[in-house]
Amino acid sequence: MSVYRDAILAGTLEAEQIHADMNAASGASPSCGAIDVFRFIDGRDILLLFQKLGGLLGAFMNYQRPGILVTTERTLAIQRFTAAHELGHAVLGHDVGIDDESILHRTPFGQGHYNAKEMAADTFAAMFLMPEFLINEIAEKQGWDYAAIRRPEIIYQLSLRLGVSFEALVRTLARHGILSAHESMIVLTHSVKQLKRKLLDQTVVPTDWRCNVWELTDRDMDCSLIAEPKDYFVVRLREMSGAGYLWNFDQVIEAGFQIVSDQRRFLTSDEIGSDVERIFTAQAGYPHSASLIAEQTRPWDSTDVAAQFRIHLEVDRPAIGFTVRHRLEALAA
Amino acid sequence: MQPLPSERAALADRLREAREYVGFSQDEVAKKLNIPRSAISLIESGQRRVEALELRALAQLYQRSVGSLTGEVTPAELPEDVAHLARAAAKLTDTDRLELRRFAEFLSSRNPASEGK
Repeated sequence: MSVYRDAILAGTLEAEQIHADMNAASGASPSCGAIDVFRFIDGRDILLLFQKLGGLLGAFMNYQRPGILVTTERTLAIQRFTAAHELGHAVLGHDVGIDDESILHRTPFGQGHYNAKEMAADTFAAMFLMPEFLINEIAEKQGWDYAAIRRPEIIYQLSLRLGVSFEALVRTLARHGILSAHESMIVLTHSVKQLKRKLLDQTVVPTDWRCNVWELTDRDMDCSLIAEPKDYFVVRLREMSGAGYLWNFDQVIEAGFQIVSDQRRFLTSDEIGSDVERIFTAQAGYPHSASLIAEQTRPWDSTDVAAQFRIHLEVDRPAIGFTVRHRLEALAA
Repeated sequence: MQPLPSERAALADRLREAREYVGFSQDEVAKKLNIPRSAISLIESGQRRVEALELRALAQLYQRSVGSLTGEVTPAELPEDVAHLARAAAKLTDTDRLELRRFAEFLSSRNPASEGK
């Protein structure tokens, strides 16, 4: 029994130590987005490589030098979790780790025991990518209270901002005591596809449901988010159309995004000239890093900007080989 | 002494494989070495000699030793603990086995320039 407790403790402590070091280095600036696990590994002199694997998700080996191998064949959230799990093997001093699908479905916090090293690496991955302080920071910025954070649609949006899968987050919320074990089981019965479908509201039907559907509002202002090329960004903004101001998306399109849907919905008020909510859905389509900026102006005077919406999107999909950052640094060196 | 045509072809194959393994394009490598892209293409098809300095730069970029590129150093066997775990993992496909071996080879073909870091 205690060997498992020790494994969970070791994984937790290692993740906490790294966060303490990272926060000290960055001056503890509150973030609103995901922990960049690939950048962290690159910066640690551990070789990180993506290859097209079969059933495996990833591996860690220390053979003359430490290296982490991650499959190109899964979603970014799963690639990030796999990389964090392998990083766990590395920082916990394990010699080797070869990991398949099972890392996604088992939990070190529940019933049932398995290999202690795997349990320690799983704990590390969860605590590294989903530390309680980061969950609290995001919830605070979004205005999600204790009741809200138990709703499946909110948990899904939180999982996107943390860059993890819905399932992984639900398990970790239970670990942090934010959800009870019973609540987490109920939340897990919800279909993520239904949550996505509801957000897209029949305006768009994705050809591939592995895409993520982000709901963005002015609460996401100035955030930096990590997303995938096929993801949809449903942006909901208040529009002062009564005063002649309309949201202008020229810069969104210039930055390389496609507007796939654009609607207006009256906010609950019968007054003539009351505000409306403008809901537009954008998609990046290809990997690139850009700011998504929309401005609320009067059509006849684009210099009079009543409001601006601005977020930074890093749209990425790791290709075979080193990370893009590693390649660019090696070429510049 | 001139290398045998087959040796040059083998070197060419290893260079292409090493580049593709870490994800650089011919264009990127050419810019880094300050030579035309066509030169990389010729080197990788065995139609152009590789200068010693170029080979060193390529080894550095691809994170391998010069010896592993020239074929003087033969790849090591899969370490026993990796081989053991690979046998134990249920869902391993042939692709996975191949990729694990390639990765172990890659890690063990350390670039001497980065040693002692």
